[in-house]
Amino acid sequence: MDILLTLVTGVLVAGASYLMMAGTLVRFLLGLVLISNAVNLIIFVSGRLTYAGPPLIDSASKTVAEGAANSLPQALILTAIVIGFGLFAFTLALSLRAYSQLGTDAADEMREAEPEDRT
Amino acid sequence: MSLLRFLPAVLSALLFVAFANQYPVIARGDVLTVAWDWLPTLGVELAFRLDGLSLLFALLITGIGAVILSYAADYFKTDPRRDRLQILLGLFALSMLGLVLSDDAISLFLFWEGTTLTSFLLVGFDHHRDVARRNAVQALIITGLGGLALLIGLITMHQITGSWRMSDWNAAGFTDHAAYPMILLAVLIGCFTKSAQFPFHYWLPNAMAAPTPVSAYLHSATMVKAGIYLLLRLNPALGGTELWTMALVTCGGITMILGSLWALRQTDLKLMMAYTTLMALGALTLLIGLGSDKALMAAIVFILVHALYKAALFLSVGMMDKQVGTRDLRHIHGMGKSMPLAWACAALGALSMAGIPPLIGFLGKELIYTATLGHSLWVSGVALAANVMMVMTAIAVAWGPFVGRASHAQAKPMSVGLWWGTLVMGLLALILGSLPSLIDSSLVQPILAAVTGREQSVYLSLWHGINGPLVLSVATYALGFVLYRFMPRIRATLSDIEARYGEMDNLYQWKLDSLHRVAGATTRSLQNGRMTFYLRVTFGMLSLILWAALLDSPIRWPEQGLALTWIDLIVGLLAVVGTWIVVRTESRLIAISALGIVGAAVSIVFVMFGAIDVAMTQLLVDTLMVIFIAVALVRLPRVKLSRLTNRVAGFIAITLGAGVSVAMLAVLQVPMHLELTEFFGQNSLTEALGRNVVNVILVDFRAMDTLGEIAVVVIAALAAIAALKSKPEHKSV
Repeated sequence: MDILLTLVTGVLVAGASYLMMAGTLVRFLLGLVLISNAVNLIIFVSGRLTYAGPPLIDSASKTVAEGAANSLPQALILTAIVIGFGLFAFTLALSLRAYSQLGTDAADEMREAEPEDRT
Repeated sequence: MSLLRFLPAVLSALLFVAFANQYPVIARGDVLTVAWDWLPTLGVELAFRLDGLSLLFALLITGIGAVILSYAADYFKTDPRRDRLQILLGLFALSMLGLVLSDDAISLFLFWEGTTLTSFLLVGFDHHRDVARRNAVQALIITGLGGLALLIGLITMHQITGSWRMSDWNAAGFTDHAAYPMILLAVLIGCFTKSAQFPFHYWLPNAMAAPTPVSAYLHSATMVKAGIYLLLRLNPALGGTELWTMALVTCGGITMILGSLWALRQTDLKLMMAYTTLMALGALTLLIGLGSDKALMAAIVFILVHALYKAALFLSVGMMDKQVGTRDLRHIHGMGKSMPLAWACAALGALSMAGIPPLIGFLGKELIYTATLGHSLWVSGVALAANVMMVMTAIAVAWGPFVGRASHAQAKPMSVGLWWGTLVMGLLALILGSLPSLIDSSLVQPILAAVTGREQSVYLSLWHGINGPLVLSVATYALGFVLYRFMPRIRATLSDIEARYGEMDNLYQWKLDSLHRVAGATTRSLQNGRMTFYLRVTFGMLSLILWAALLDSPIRWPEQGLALTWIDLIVGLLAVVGTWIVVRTESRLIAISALGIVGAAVSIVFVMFGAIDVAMTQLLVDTLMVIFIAVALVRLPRVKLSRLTNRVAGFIAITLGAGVSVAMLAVLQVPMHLELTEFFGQNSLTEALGRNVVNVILVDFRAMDTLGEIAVVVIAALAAIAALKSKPEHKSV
């Protein structure tokens, strides 16, 4: 399964980067969501997969049971999901604003800061 | 008028006295050293060493410094920028002192750069003038690049000897080392740029954009001699080879001829002086290149000779400029009566420059002829030609402007600060020239010992009987006086040549412009304002780096992974097919739905492998994202998504995706370290009283991290609100 997941992650990264390079706001946003998922999978798989229970301490013991899932990557992914969400929300707002301000959906036509004819 | 303006001059004079106080010690042949640790781990020290050579330069820097600072005080008597000028001059003087006193090469280099920087600020002193700014930058670029080359040479010598002390280098010597040509080249570039040798000479005349006191001090008496100083200083370590002689004699000779010839071409007296400085620097380089004891002795004496007469001449030109308002020799004549002091100063300087006995210039010229005659006829010819032109220049500067019918009205009397020092220097040239025994064994001898590394007695006198040098001297005067009559014609011819072939300065400007063009073209092509291009470069580089790292080590297929079940396959297929649909679809609604499928598949993976909290968050966030996009699409353009067919982007995306997969496979084969996980598992309950380890990590062990994360989300939310709510700006045209 872990080998399958590395391949799936590769597909996600390829699809996400392809979408982001397409040059329209909508596709860029779709790519951003995909690449967040891909990165989370990378962290998760790198922390090794086990079909074990979650890292919880049951009421009888004082430490986590042997063989429970790796807790550290999970904590990191939780942080990453939230940050990714913040980034996505901001990018989305920015895209909407850019569209209403510049009247185009094509990223290459947004040239306020770096106009074509500058010398 | 406050006398406080003379304070810097007084300080410099005090330093002069302090150094002069060491004169008897050095004259005995002793060397004073002092050192403090600076960067002990790198072996860098603040090591200073006072021997004959350092003492000569220290006396010149502080002595002429006192004269210049007092001159500047009255030259800028009423100018509000006087303080700035004096502070910069003071900083320069300190850097220059540090340069000639350092034994440690790193300190030397820092002081070297200090003089470059202060020179830049002083050349650009009249910063409201374009030409001053341009020439300041030119001086900075040329001497700065030379400094970098020098640093390469210094570091190489350090690596060979393991010491930063130049005295150690001189004891070791590098002439037999394999790296010698490289070291020599680096050091020579440093010295030639600093001392304005051909082919780097052209910055020096341009540096005359500086006020006259600056030109007299930095660009004739002291800073431009830094390269000469270093050549002399490293002579025992690097000198004496064929390569050394060839490089120095060639460049020095060319500089000498170019300088003296172009001096004749000038009508601006100050520029004329600048070119004669080139001649003097060329002569010094040539003499050091010849390398015989006689030549080195001539070089040492000529440093003193030139410093005295050139500073005096520069300052006289400055007086004329100040009193009359022009420096053009075609427009000044007959001012001798109204400016007797300026005339006296200029005459003393010019007599010394022309090498008339009993001024010290005569001594210098005799020594040069002795040295060149000891080498070869053609070098003597070069020296003769240059000296003839020096005689012509001397007449032009000290005769033309002062005799004949007065061109300007009675000049106002000069402030004492302007003339006292100049006159002292002129008189010094006369006294030392008449009584050379004052300096021969006490100053020139220890310097020669420092430069050659051998003790030998030095005896100077004016009269050596009728010999080769004296015959050449007489020929010099005669030719100079005769050719002076043809000065206007020579000047016209030289102007023609200049107009036809252009100057080295144009070449510099062309190189600089080309650099700007290349930089502009590079920027325009790399930063072209197209986001797709930026993203391609970013993803492409990422892929390249990934593959470079992966291909560096052999790639192996993992020997065993977790078993594959039907559920696994279905989940994997969901994610892959979902991604495929998102990429390929032309309908926005289908794209969003497929995106939801991918998110759900990832959530299932989390559930399967014991990450319940993550799965819950993922599902929640994924749902929110899909809703957000759906809402946003209402406001985004209603155009259909066109089918994507970009091959370049596709290639980059596929290599990147494959790279990520292979990298993850490689990661899975590395042994896992679980120390942190074990620590959290064991201490979660006992230390932080929580049974859900993931939660405890987030809110306890890594609480600050989570706080930062919350802050990021809040800031993102605020920014999003700002982006959505603010009124649209109108496009500025």
